[in-house]
Order: sequence, then structure tokens, then C-alpha cells
Amino acid sequence: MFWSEETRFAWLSLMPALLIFAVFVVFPVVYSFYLSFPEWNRMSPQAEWVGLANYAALVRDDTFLRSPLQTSLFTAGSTGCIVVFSLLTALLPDQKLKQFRLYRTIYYLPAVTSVVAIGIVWLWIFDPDYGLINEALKALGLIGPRWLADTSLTLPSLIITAAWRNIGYGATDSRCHPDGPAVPRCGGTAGRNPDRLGIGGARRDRRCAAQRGIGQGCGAGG
Amino acid sequence: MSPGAGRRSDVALHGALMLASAVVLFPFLWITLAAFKTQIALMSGVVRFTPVLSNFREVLFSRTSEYLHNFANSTIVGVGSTAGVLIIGTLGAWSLRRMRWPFWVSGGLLAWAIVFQMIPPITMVGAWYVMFRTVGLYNTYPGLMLAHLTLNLPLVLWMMSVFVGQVPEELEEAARIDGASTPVLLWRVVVPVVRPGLVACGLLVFILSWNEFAVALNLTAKQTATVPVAIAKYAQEFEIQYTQMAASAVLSTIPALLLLLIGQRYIIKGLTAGAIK
Repeated sequence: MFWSEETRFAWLSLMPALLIFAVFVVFPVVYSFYLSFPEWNRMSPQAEWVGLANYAALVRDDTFLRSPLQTSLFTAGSTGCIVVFSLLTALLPDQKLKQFRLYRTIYYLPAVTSVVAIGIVWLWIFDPDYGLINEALKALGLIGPRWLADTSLTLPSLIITAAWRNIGYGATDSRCHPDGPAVPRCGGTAGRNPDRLGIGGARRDRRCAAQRGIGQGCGAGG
Repeated sequence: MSPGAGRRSDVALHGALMLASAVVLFPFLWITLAAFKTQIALMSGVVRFTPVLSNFREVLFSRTSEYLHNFANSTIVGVGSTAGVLIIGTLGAWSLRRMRWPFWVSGGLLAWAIVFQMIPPITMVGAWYVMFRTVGLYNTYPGLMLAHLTLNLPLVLWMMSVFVGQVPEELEEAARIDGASTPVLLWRVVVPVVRPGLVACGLLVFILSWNEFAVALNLTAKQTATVPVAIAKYAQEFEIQYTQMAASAVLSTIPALLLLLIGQRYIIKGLTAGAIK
């Protein structure tokens, strides 16, 4: 096979990325699956093969059984808040505000703050005795709830925190358009220069939709 | 609509925006104030207080504090993983753009990105821990760098492929006619053109690495602990020094904040490109 110098170099260029993908993503996924069968506590040298016993234990575990519902509620609540706020901030550029950049930077601040620091602050804000919210309620003559210590309010408290952290989602999504409308541009590039990319418009649209998802995901990592 | 209505809606808009800004900024303000208070001033909840620097002094320079060491760790890991991910990501992105890769390659890499979207990285940590222990990468800089590199590579790959795709083909052809080999062409033509994209990606990825907690917690021990890990340890100590915790949290936010302020134009541009094109 006679490959051009460029083709060979293009092969080589993708190799590091593929290698990392194989070693640190594909292998660990398979390995994790394998690790779900023995019983091992990180300390002892010997792992004992127990088959499906780990799964059986999981199914009998109350906390685990409750977790799908909790996660769903948390996700629905926080996503709802984020979507509403994102829609509002995504419309910001249309308002032709001079202070657009300033607002955008402010809303994006929580997204570049470490989750640990955010956790500390909100732990205090929700503190039943000294916390900001209950102090404010006290000033109004009300007695605040126990927030994180109250099982019925833990989830809403977490949702508030998550919504606060991701308020900037919309601010970066208005990246969708400091200089133009959001969605139609997706296909636009392909339409303008289809030969160049060598890929059909529909396929590109699908791909750029996925890319948009990726761009947003980076904020949610924490 | 009468001009009066327009002005009124302007006022309403600004009011709403400022209210939202206040909600976002208040926790920052509050923790910053707490960092300058004494423990007594914090607990008694006084509004007027004399600011003190003792918390910062204690966090940074006390004999038992390892904060500066953690800061150095975070910087080393952040710079190392960012450099690595930019090199590997840009090369890969260029290759994906210029070559007709079979679908399983490009599709597989896309799937990787989507997998990281759907499952939290924490699910990989167990396997990574065992792997890293076995090969001696646990509690080392290269170990955590590789982990962060893996977490951020999909993002860089797709973001950079957008920027690389914007390089005019004529430019590359011109360089070819002048006899440039492929590596030279990449270095002399492609890299200079995509530099804004590299800056955007680099800033973003560094901030992500700086703030990353779950993976760092599991793959580091005392010597290589990063700042978020160190702060979390504070919170678990026997006697919690709230004001010192506040000071350490404030200090940890500063680098990412500075980068955001300096590079926000680039970051937003990068996200825009990654999102749309």
C-alpha cells in the first residue's frame, strides 16, 4: 500500500487520541464490568469471585433503590430552573445592551468556581441557626426551616444550589448568537461550502447538534 | 408601542438583570467577607466588623498548612494536562478534518464525548484507581494529568476540529506548493491560524482541571492533593475553622476568576464555535 506522506501523518496524528481513548476509556469500562463480580475491599490482596452477589446486594439496598427517583427529581428540578433562566439570558444579545458582556461574565462566574467552594458557601447559606436565609427570615419575624437537616427540604436545597451554579449556561449559550440567530447557523456552514467538508448537510446537522451538546456538557462536569 | 413603553420595558429588563446578578454575586460577596472576619465576628453575625488578614496568613503560611503546596500541585496538573490535551486534541482534530476516517473511528470518538456527557466521570474512577495503583501512577502528577487529559480531550477534539475546519484550504495548498512537509505545514500554517481557538480551549480546559474534584480526590494523596481536595479536607477536620475555610475557598477561586476575566472574549468565542459550526 502506498500512502502519501500526508495520509501517513494524518494517521499518526490521531493515534495519541485513539490510544488515550482505548486505554483510559474503553479498557476501564470493560474492567469496571469485570470488577463488579469479585468481592474485594481495596486492602486485601485476594479478591474472591462472588458472581452476581454484588448486584444482589445492590438490589436489596434501600438507599440504592431510592436513588433513581431522587436523581430524577433532582435532575428535573434543576434542569427546569436552568432551562428557564438560560432562555432568558440567551435572549440577552437581542436586547443590544451595552452591559451585555458584564452581565454575561457575572452569570458565568459560578460555572468557573470549584464545586467544593460552592458547597461550602451554600452549606452556610442553608445553616439553620446562622445561615443567611434563616437570618433573613428571622428579620421578617419568621422561623426558617432546617433546610439540609430536614429530609423533605434537602432535595429542594440541592436543586437551588445546582440552579445557581448553572445559571451561566444560558450566558454561554448566548454564544449561540452574539452575532446572529442561534439555530439556523448550524446548517449554514455546510450549506455555504458543501464540497469543502465532503459531508452531507443532514449528517453535519446531526453532528453539530451533538457538538452543541458537548459544549454545554463541559459546564456540568462538577 | 409608544416610546414610553419601550423605556419602561428597558427599566424592567435592567431590574431583572440586576436582581439576577445580585443573586449570583451575593454568595461570593458573603464568603469574601467571612474570610476577613474573626471566628467570633462570624458567629455573632455582626454587620460592622474590623477586617483581619489572619485567616489568609494562617491558610498560606502557618506551619501546618500545605495550601501553597496544594496550589503548586493544582498549577502543575492544570498546566501539564492542558498542554497535553491541546497538542493531542489539535493533532487529532486536524486528522479528523483532513482524512476520510471510517465511521467507526469518528463515530467512536463522538461516542466517547457522548458517554462522558451521560455518565459522570466518577464512574470511571474505580477502574482508574486500580489501574493507576497497579502501574504506579497513583498519587503522581502524570497520573492525575492523564486523568484530566482524558476527561477534557473530547471537548478539545471537537472544539479544535471546528477551528481547524475554518483554515482556508487555499492557504494549505499554497504552503504545499512551496514545498512544505505536513508537520511544517501544521506548525507554520494551521497552528497560527487556529491560535485564538487554542487560547480559548486552553483557558477553558485549565479552569476545568483547576476545579475538578471527584477524580482528583481519588487519585491523589497528601503529596499531590490539588486545591479542591485540600479544601474539602478542611471541611472534615475535627474543629472546623469556618473563617479559614472561607479564606482558602476565596484564594482557590482567584486563578480561575482571573483567567475568566482576562480571557472571557476568547472563551465565549471558543464555546460559540464549538456549539454552532
